[in-house]
Amino acid sequence: MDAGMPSAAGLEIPGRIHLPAPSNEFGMVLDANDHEVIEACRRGDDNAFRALFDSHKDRVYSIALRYSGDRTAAMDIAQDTFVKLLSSIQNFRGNASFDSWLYRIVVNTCLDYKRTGRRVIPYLDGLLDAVAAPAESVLNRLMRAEQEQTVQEIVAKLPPEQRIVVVLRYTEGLSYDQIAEIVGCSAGTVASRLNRAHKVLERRLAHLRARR
Amino acid sequence: MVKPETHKQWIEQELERSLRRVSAPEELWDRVQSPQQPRARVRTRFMAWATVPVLTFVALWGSHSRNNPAIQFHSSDPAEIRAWVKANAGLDVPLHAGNLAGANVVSPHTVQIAYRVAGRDVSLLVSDNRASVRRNGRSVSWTNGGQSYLLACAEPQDFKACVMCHVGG
Repeated sequence: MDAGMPSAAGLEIPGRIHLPAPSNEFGMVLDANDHEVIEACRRGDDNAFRALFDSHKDRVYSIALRYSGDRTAAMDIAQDTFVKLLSSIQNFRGNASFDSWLYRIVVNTCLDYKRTGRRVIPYLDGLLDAVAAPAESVLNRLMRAEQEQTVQEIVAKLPPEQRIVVVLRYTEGLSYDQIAEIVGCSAGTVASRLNRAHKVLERRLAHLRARR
Repeated sequence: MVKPETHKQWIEQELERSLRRVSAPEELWDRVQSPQQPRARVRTRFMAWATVPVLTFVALWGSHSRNNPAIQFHSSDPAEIRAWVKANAGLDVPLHAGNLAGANVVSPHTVQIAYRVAGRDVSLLVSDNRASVRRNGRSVSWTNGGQSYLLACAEPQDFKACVMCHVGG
């Protein structure tokens, strides 16, 4: 796992995509309070790390879940991401974008994740969540959850380089330039990967469109 | 080029909705504090499940009459419904007689069995899955005849009514 550790100079990982050092593409996201939190994390302040975790847990978990399509795998990836974050926060440069840096950690952790067994289909999780919703027609919610699950399963079958771009685009709403910076390629390559993914998804999800 | 643009908008809307951000489970903090190895070994337990045909049944107890989609196949005969479901969705769903109203193919992998019980519409969603089964306040699971069942209800007190209708329950 050390190979995936980010550093202030960017990620240098043999055999994998090269992720350049963070820039300010995402803007100066760290305000004075954020700086204090990160400084406190560097000093080993558990409360500060908890605050940092609370601020970013949903983002990290969502990327992991949408990439892997599996709640168990998502927990593994999110856990690894925060462990890497904690162990390498000394290397974070305060003048760079923390968001960008964190995105790189979770993206590399996703790409590193090896499925050691057959994916435990998370189908039921979405359905059970839908059942738990009280207000709307339960059946409608259940059917919508099933439809969303179908989309997620198809996305989970995309090649990793397309899948991660799709997740960053639609889970995080990032621009092509932002995705390019995180993944370490050009914006044109991001557009190309998204375009290929769109075509595959349109073909495999055509039956859903017919029901709209 | 109107059509491709329409396609793009449609797929992007679908992706934005289906891939939206979710909340992290509370137990993630515990995992981070006490890191554990990825659960590859745990999956071996589930591999045993993959050796047998598994049907996961999600039963839903609730009223949906106003928004209930049209039933594609109307019948109260369990054998007829079973044959129709098998022909149209590839799922073999054994059913008992009583309260059946018909069936509907929800997606290539899921069918809805429609019931009418005490004046209320009830749906049993049947999906062909090799699935892990989770137990919580709204679901209960069991195995029978080499198949795994998961019964989920909107309210815990509805379990009893669901089980009464459920095959093999």
